[in-house]
Parts: sequence; C-alpha cells; structure tokens
Amino acid sequence: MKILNIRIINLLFISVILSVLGSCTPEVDSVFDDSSANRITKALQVDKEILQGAKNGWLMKYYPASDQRYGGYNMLVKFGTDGNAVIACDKFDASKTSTSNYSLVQSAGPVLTFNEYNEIIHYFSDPVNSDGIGKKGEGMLGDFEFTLREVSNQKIVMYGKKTNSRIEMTPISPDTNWTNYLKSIQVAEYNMGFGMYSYVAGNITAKVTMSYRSMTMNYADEKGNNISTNIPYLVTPTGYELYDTLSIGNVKVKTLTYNAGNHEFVSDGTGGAKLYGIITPLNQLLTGGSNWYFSYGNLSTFGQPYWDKAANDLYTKEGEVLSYMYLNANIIYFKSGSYPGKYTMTSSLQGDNNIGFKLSGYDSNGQFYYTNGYFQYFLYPFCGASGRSFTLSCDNIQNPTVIILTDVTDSSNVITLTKKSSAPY
Amino acid sequence: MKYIKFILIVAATLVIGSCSNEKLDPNSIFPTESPERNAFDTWLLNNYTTPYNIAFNYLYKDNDTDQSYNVIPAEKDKSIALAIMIKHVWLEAYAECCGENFIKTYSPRVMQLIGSGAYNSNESMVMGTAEGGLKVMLYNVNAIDINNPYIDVENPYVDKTNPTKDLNYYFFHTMHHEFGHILNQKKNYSTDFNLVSAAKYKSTDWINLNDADAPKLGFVSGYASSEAREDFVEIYSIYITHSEACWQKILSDAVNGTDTSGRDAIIAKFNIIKNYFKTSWNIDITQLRDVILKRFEDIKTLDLKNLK
Repeated sequence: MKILNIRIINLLFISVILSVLGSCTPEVDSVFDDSSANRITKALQVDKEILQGAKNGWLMKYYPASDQRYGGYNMLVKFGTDGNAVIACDKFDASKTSTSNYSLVQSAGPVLTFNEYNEIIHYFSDPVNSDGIGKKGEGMLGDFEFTLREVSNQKIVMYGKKTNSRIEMTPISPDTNWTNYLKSIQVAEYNMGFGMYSYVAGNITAKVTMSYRSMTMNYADEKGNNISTNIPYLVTPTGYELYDTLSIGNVKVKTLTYNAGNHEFVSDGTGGAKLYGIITPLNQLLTGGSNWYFSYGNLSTFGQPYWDKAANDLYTKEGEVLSYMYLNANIIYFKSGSYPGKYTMTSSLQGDNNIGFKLSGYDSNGQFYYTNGYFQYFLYPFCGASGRSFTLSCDNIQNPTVIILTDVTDSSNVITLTKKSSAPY
Repeated sequence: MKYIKFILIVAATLVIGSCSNEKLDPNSIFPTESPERNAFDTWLLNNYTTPYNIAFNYLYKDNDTDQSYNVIPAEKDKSIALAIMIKHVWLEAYAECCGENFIKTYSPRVMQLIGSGAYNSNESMVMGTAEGGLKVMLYNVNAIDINNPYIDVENPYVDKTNPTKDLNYYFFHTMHHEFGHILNQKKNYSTDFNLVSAAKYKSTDWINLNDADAPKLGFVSGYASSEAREDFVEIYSIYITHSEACWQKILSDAVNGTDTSGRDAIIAKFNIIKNYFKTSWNIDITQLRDVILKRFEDIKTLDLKNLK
C-alpha cells in the first residue's frame, strides 16, 4: 500500500511537471504588429501614393549596366493614377514622351516595374540596342525593375534589380517645363563637349577622354603607378554630376560646374580640383585614341568607283561584305565577312590641320585582302599607292563629330570620317 | 501494463497542456478583391481565363521569366493581336478538331509574352520554351507586324540567319511543338518510333545540320535530329502547320539519287505519329492540319486591333 502511494505520488508529480512543460508554448512576441503580407501590402500602397504624389513627375537619374559604363541619363517620369507612367529622356528628342503601364509589386521587398513596353526606358534594356550599342543579347544592359530602398516625398533611392546600379529620383518642381529642361541639358552637353580634357586635383594631372557618358582618366599616382579609371556621370544644365564621389590626389569631387568663358569645370568642395576642356588640333585628334569611321556615302565621287570595284569583287569572289572600317591611332581596322584585320599607317603631322598617311604594314588578314586586290582599292582614296596628304576641317572645332580630309594634290578627293559608328555601306 | 498507463498519462497531459487558445486570423493574406482590369484584361478573362483556365501574361512578370536572359516587355497592341491570333488558330483549332474539353484539359496554363528575343551568349536566339507542360514562353512579340500579319506555310526551311517576321515560324509552329511535348508526357508513344532513326541522332551537334540538309538524313528539320522526342514533335508541328505541297517538298528533298532511306525514315515515323494521335487522342492530324490552314487563311481578314 505504501509502495503504491509513492508510485501514485511519483506519477502525479511527473504529470504536473509535464503539463507545466507542455503548456510552455513556443510563442514569442512578434517584432512586428502585423503579418508580413499585410505590411508589404501597406508599404506598397504608401509607396504608390508617394510616387503619384509628385504632380510634375520625378527626375530619375538612370544608370544602365552594372558597371555604369554608359554613364547616366536624365529620365523624367510621371506616375499616373491610371497605372500608366509618362516618360521622357535627354537621350531622345526633348519633346518626345512615351506612355506605358507600371506596377509596384512584392519581390524581395517593394519593386517598381515598368512591365509594358515603353520606347524610352526599354531602349536601355533591349538586348538588341537600336543604335547598335553593346553586343547582341546585351544592348546597354539597363534595368526596368527597381528595388525601392528609401522612399519619401523628397527623394527615392532604388537599385536596379539586375545591375544593382543606384538610381535616385527627386520630384520635379511644378513650374519646370519638361521639354525646356531636357533641351537645356542637351544644349549644355553640346557646349561642354571637347575632344579631350585634362583634370587637375592636388598635384595630380590626368588625361581625360569621354565615351558615352563616362570619363576615362589616365594619370600617374603619388607612387608613380599608371592608373586608368572610369568615371560615369550625368549631364545637368550646369555641368557634370558624378555617379560616385571621385577621389584623386586626396580631393573629393561629386559635381563639376562649367564656365563657358574659360572652358573650365569647377568642382564642389574645398579641394579646388578642376576639369579643363582642351581644343585639340585636328591632326592630333585624328591620330589620337578615338575611332573615326569610313563609309561609302562619305566619299567624294573620286573615291567611290574604287570602293565599288573592291566591294563588288569582295562579294563575288569571297561572298563577303565589309562590315566596318575605321581609323584609330594610325591603324585602320576592318572586318570583311567574319574576318577582322588591320593596316598600320605612318602619319606625318604639319601645323594643326595638315596630315599625311602612308601604308606601312598589315596583319595576316590585312595581307590577304590587300594582295588579293580588295583593300588596295578600299585604301586607295586614303593613302594611294605611295601615300597621300590632306588638309583637315571639321564641323565643330571644340568637339568635332566629323573630320573632313581634302587631298592636297587632288581636291576632288574628299573623305569625311565620322566619330559616330557607321556601317561602310 | 504499468508502462502503458504511464505513457498514456504522459501523452494525455502533454496534449491537454499544449492546447492554447490562440485564434486564427479570419482574414486571408491573399487579396480576394478583383484587381482593376482594363479592356484587354477583361477580354482575356472572358476568352482565356474563364473558358480555358489560361493566364495570358502580356505584362512582364519577373518570376515567370528566365532571369539569365536580357529581355524587354511586350508592346500592348502586339500582345492584343497575338492573343486574338492564338485564340483563333490554336485554341479554337484544337477545340474544333478535338473538342472543347480536350484543349481545356491539356493546354498550358500560363502563356508569358516577351517583347524581344532571348539570346544565348553565342548570340543564337531562343524561339520559345515550355516548362513541364505548364508554361509557354513566347519571345519576339514586338517583331509582329499587325498591319501585315505574315504566315508562311509553304517554306519548310526558314533562313535563321536572317529571321523573317513569319508568325508561323516564330509562334504557331513553336506552340504546336511545345504542345506536342505536353501530349507525349500525358500518354507515351510507341518506342518503335525511337528505333527508326536511332543511329542518326546528333544530340547537341544538331546545330550544325541545316534544315535543308536534314531530310536526306531522315529528319524534317535540323532540330529534329537532336533526339527522338524532339524528332517526334518536330514532325508533328511542321506537318500540321504547313501545306501538303510543303510536306511533299520535304519528302522529295529526302531522296538522294537512288537512296530513298531519308524519305522512308520520315514516312515510317510519320505513320507512327499519325497512328499515335488516332489511337491515343482520337485526333486525325491531317484533318487537324486542314483546320489549322483554314484558320491561318482567316487571319488575313481578322481584326487584330479591336477586341470583341
């Protein structure tokens, strides 16, 4: 009996302990007072109201590509309550707009997506860029979906979903006219363009060239190491705004403001760094490190018959078509069919506007196409059999987009080279 | 016995003690209100979703899209045209030939439209993909010319280096091809089929076989030479989307001098396919082809701009 009692007491004791343990629920107080689904729904609603709240739209500083290699573009975006966004951009005609659907969706946080085709924003995302920028399948690698990080009425910070490029939006003041604003940027970009620049910060001087909206700075640092760095920027009506803060020679710079009077760009902050626009003699520009494109339509009637013969022979004998031909730093690069090749030139510079070219060598493809009688004709207007001399002129001495070569001994031979890439035919 | 009692008591106290009084939230986290719909959304609801249970995604949806490609969304007016065309030449062609229930049961559930092509790193282009019979991706929608819809049913060998805007090549042949896979997954075909050209499949090297050279080896296209199941759906999709004259051209191109082995192989495989569709699905594929070709003709006069 006594033994049984102890057993019962034991059992009761164990069951009390177990019920105490069992009734401990794993519940902990929620950090948030609502479910995640409800919170994201509310957040999207708030974000949407803020986006639609800017009555004259937002200025979006848009940078395509994860390395921002093409620089930034001013995109003006107005988010309508009907679910459509109206978009304009300084890359296009200032008065052009394109309207398409936008949505705010949940995808690892609130995401703004331009999910219906828009001629303007999707220009930067099209895998086959309509201006031939970037390789097929990539284009300019721009995003059209953005993860929102900071959202307020004054500023929105978001990141491209694929590129992770930082993209900021600020409201456009109600009295700003979109077309005039974009025009002022386009005019500024033209006026601020130079064939070459130089950047001085502290005791460092860098040589600067521009490609799309990205500067390439080449300089020797304090230890004498040669540095080459790319600085993506955005054009504003008054100068350049850099994507990242630039730090060369211990001077930090975020914006460069243009002074048209002396071709100088003054930096923000106290370091006193400056960017100088340089007017380069045409013959130096032509032999510098930019591509200058040849095309059939840009030859005078002197040169065209030679190209006719060469192109015709190339097609009938090899089944090939010339797909590009350009001059860069005294080398002519070309591609016939799928075969690239090159010709090396010797140049002689006289004064600012005179230059002579003579063929001095080729690679194996270049040799093939020359000795088989194709490129001796393509090159004939440019360097003849024993060299030619030209007088140079251009469209805009500050920042030439075309350079016109007029043969010194036969003024009917005129070749116009363009900075913008163009197909030979 | 003692232990059983003991265990029972333990279990009972645990069960009783762990009952808590927490209530479930009566509100679903999924919105139950209808989304705002524009005229196209409403048309899709009435013509795709309600009758066929198909989500026709004309807007870009990241989680229905392959993120490894750089693509752009589709244009709305071209999406509308494509929705009207697919309904007429695809959904309703099967409905006419095989009955409403057939297409309702087996059609893919999601059609995702993409404006551009999807390019591989070697710059080759993806035509369309089907995932497990559930989803069909349709690329290159923005290339559609809605003023002059062009469907080529006569040319079996499209020049892929210079793709035309041929809707048959871009969309309809691709959709029938992918749908063929879905039907094969539901009911398998006779393994005799795999034996006909067993020694000639080229796996990934199919890419080096031009369409025009394929018939002599016993295939209707370069891609058909990759493996038996692709061979099957290529014969099926090319046959039902091209004219009899085009089919005969493939067969005559399959003869190399006195060597008729190419043609014999195509015909042998075709007969297995025809028999499979008759016995497994009660579909006469020649009749299906006639219906599809007739509906292709209709597209010339179909209003592709206004939803009805």
